Amino acid sequence: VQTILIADDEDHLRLLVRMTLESDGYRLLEASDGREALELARKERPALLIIDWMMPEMTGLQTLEALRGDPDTTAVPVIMLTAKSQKADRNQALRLGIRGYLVKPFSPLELMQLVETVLAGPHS
Amino acid sequence: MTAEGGGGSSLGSKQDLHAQLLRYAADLQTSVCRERDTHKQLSAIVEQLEMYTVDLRRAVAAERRRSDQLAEAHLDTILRLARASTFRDNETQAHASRLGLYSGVLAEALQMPERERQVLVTVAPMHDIGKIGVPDAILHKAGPLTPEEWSVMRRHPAIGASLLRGSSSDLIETARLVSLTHHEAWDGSGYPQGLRENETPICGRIVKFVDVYDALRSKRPYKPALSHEDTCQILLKGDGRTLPSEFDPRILDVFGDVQERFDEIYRQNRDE
Repeated sequence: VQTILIADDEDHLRLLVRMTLESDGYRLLEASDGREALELARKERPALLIIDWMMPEMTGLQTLEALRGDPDTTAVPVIMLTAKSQKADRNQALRLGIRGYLVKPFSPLELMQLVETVLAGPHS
Repeated sequence: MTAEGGGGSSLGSKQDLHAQLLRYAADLQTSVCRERDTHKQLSAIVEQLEMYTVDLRRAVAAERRRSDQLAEAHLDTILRLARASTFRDNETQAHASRLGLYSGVLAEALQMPERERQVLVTVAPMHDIGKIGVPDAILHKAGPLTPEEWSVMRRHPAIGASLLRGSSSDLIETARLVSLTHHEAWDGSGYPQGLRENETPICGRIVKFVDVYDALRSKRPYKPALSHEDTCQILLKGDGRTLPSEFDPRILDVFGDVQERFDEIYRQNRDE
């Protein structure tokens, strides 16, 4: 079973993502801010991290930079799930080597598709 | 209202009141902001749930399309099986289709439920599918069969039933029952089990009757084609070989009301 870590400060959103992906057979871990996400990512080595941008403690972007700076977590594929819909935001995140960028409110079918594609693809 | 301690000047208490009002204003503003945040959060939740609803509808529609396609493919396979069953026999495709149509007329006259009627129309043409297990030497023999050959020939209902056994499809299950019981007779004189009366399911009783009707109407090596009137006469009154006691009396009863439609079906679906 592949483990997916969802980091978002909104409980309802984590719940929705959990329900959506658990029914596809994945194991879900939850973090409610960037720092917690970083700790869990180091400890649990998830196959995929789905992360919000605007979170307390550490933003998604800061978390991403920290992950990339650590050899243990540098390769974890990341999908950004955010309300930031500007093209400039998207490009900024893409420059940090993320595998997908979904804008809230997101389409669950699209999320499932994206997760499947990312997990099937080469983990580089 | 005086300030705490009692003895403050009126100027001092005025300042206190002012400070207190400012606190109230600040708290009010905080709670208004919080309210606005909650509202924003709620509308984000609602928007997200709307997305879920849209996707759910999309997923259900896609699922329904796929299930329709599957049902269609399933039916298509069964219809091809029905056609295949007529190839080895001397019976024609037209005979097989007619059996389905007559069965539909009787099922309607007997007020069977819609779905059961449709199923019967679809599977009645397969009643002789078990004949694919009967050797050509017997199936295509020009002269009369010996008693041994007859006993082989009479295995075809059971062969067909074993071919169709164990399916979860109501179509195939009805086809199995029709194959197994379409030579049973109301008076117990049929085969393979010698079932009596309602022991034979209604689908078998119907196909038994319409098979005899069509056989009488058709030209065979050993007999000429009979007219509709002569055929009705034999079915309702009997002759040396066919007796009315072989048929469900309810079927004979409703046949009287719908017999013209049997003639129409025969004329409109002649052998080529």
